[in-house]
Amino acid sequence: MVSEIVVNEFVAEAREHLGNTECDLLAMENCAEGESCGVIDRIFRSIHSIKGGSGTFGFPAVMELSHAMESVLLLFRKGVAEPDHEKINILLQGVDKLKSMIDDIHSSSKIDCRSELERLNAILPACGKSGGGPSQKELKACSPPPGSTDRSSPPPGGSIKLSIKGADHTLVTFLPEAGQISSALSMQHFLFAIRADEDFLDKLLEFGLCLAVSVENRADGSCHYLFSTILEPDLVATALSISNEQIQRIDPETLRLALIAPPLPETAAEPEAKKQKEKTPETIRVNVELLDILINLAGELVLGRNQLRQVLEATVDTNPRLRSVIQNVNLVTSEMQAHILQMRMQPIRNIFSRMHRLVRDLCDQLSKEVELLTEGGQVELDKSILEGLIDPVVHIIRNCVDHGIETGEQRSAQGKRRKGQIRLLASHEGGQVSITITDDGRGMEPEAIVEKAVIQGLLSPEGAGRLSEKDKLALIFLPGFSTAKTVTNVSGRGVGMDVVKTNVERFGGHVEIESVKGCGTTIRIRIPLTLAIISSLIVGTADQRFAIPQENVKELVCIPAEDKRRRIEKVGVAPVLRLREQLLPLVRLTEAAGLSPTFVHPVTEKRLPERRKNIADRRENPQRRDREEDRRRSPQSDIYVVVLKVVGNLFGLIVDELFNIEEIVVKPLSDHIRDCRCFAGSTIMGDGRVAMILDAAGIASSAKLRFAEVQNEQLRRLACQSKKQDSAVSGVSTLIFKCAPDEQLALALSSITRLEKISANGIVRIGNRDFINYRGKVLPLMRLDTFLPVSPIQRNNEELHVIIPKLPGIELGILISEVVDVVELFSKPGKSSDNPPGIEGSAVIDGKITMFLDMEELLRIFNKEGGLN
Amino acid sequence: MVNKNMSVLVVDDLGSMRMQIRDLLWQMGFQNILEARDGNQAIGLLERSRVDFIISDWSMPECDGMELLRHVRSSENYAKLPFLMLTALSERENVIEAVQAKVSNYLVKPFTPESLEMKMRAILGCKEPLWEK
Repeated sequence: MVSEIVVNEFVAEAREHLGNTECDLLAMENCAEGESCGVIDRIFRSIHSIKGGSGTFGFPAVMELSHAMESVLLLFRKGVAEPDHEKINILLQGVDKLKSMIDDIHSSSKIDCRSELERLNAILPACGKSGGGPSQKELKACSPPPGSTDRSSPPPGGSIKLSIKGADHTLVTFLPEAGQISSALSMQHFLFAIRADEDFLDKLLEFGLCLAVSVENRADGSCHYLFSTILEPDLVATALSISNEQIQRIDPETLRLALIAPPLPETAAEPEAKKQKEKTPETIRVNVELLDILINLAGELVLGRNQLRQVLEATVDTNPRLRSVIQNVNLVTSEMQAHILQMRMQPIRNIFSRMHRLVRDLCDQLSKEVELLTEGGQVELDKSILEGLIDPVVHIIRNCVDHGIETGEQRSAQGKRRKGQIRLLASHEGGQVSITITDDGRGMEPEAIVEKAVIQGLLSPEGAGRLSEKDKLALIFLPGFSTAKTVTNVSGRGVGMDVVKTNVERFGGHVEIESVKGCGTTIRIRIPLTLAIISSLIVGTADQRFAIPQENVKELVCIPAEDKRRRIEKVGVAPVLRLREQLLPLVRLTEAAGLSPTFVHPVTEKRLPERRKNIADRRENPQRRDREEDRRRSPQSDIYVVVLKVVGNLFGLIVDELFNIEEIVVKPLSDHIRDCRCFAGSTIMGDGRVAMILDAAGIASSAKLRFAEVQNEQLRRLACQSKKQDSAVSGVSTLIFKCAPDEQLALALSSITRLEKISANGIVRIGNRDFINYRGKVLPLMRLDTFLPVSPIQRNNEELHVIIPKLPGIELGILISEVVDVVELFSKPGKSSDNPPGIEGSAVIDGKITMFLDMEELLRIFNKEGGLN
Repeated sequence: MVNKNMSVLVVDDLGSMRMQIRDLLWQMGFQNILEARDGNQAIGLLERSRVDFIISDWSMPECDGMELLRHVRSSENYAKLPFLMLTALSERENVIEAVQAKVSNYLVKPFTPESLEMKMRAILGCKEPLWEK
């Protein structure tokens, strides 16, 4: 009896084979003639394996069907038949039927597969039903042929005399070795007397052994051979290409009797060698439940590790050995966690492969022509995510074929390729996996979607105006939104797209959509690589801690209290941060998380409730702003901004505190707060407290950030800037600095190597020249007032700066008192002939006259004055 | 008497088939059973460990049973190694090809435990049943 374990294994393997076969069949249909060889071989092997296994394990129905399929495949392989659409259809149906049989293997015989068999058998040409029915061929002992034995005693030397009736019915005598005969008998070889020419020996040896040649010689030069082989009697003639008349079977019993004293045969058993059994690298199938438990435990272990680390942090210095132990535990835990997570990963190919079939079937149903291209099938995803992705992807692809891609006639009329194309692409994108589904169909019309959304009451007409193109398209993801039937000039998509979105978001993913009317639609699904453990930035606000998944964090920005006014602006009513000429909408974490904001009092250092609403400091009165006790200028009022990346958009999240980056274990949200869009999950921190995991996209959408508005503003500014640029060369980063309080100087950043802060005490004066110790070297300093008509640095300045210009081979520092800013200049400094030597020109920057240094000229003067020897 | 310590290499791309054969071999009392997924893996094993008997499938990806058989027969160390071809390929030409390549014996799938035992017994030239109980 075949054990249940073997059957289960067989079922799993058969499923795998059938899955591959389905893909291969689809591939075979698409590949050009001559290329399909390898694919056919693979399909053949898979079906063949199933046939062999099912027969052996006792599932005759499966065997019968797979055998019929195999026979058809054999025709392809032999080139007798062409794998056309119709035949592949039939084979696919066979695969489907086999699948359902395999799914319920023990009742497989009860499943009716007659129609499949009929169709398959119909393909087989009436004549060449090669192996029409399942082959049950087994080697069995054949009926004893006529023969007689000479019972004389064996001659000396181990030979025996064997006289039997030959193929030509005359008596033939052999003198074979007794040992050889008994060995042939024990190995259950078939023995024959074969009449043939003298030079037939070589042919015989190809298929077996020749134990003796007949003593008698025939007049025609032929003789008899005593032939021993494993070939079945009915195959011997074919194998040797001789006629049946030349062959005479010898009954083994006859031979046994001929051996009067049969010597014990030496068997093939070889001397015992004491070698360890070697294990081959193998895969085993593990219950997914078990894996899940393991993953959970690994998660707990990571938590435990974090807690342990935190508890021991304090004592680590008292016991030096502790550190290495912690490090080790750390390392092992991380590695283990990585491997365990790896176990659940499966290539996305597994779901891609199903889509080929889907597209094919849809095309047949809708009479459209669509080809599906897939790419990136090797990208791996957590098994549960992979399973969760099937429905959304099926849905999207169904929409693509049904609504997106036009009929062949329509396409031809538009000058498109008749055959529509859907591309299914998976790739890694910064810790996330991105799945892109692109069709080249009719695309969508944002305005029509907006119109529909307004009619359906999902959107106010005013709100509609503020939406970007992308936001407009994204309306189709709203629950209840439907463009089906009523709006005919839109592709009719949106049916159930909210379900797609919900499904994808359930495991932390995002969906976005792009569409160009007439050219097609792209839907992108982004999903976190893995669910269980993610690297996160821990931030704090109002005494609470939150985790932000690292993959959402673009950068961290600290805005010093005094810079707030310059860096934070307003677009409409929304605060925005100016970051390298990019405007980012700002959100306070307290607002997003529904906490009351607090601030730290600069003097008492107590945390007090914040009443101010404005982040930006718009006050113009410099006197008030300079007041020391003004908390807006205290370091506690510095603003920390975490720049977050959400599907193509950036925004800033204002937090109070920044902590470490930690590996956190994601725990799903409890049901009570599942609807809270700002949180993606929760985690337990090293100290045992719970921290919520922030969902960047959720925050952006619940804060109703208007990326479009901000982008428009940015575009407007860029346009302004480029207008300015028209009269200038290009933006030059320029360092603005001072030597004396009221005189502003400038130098292009490109001509500066470093900017160092030094203490005035560090300057050593030798003769009339100044030096400092700079990185262990003596660096001569240049005081600009010596060479230029500028005021000297005031004596009371304790902290000074040194500009180290970019001068090949020359080490030199320019002493300055204060660094003002680095600005991007789009206009060249105005030049005039009365500029003193060393000054390139002047410009008005921030309302102040600024002199630009001419570094080369300055150096020449410096050298002339004997500044450098 | 057959030495049950001999090491038997089972080559089949279908894991369940290997499991089934291994089960049967265990029931016959064979202790040392090696497994390989295809001919290449089997050849690797032959190089690294002692093999006294091969039971191999024919049609396998990469390197099939026939290639394995030819490799074995042409190698110095294993030219005489007992080689049982276990295959669902039952056409005449298949059998003849295998015999020509000096297969020790062959067995057509689907097979019964009895037929496997008989074939092994034949190859080993052993009269007593191989079954332990």
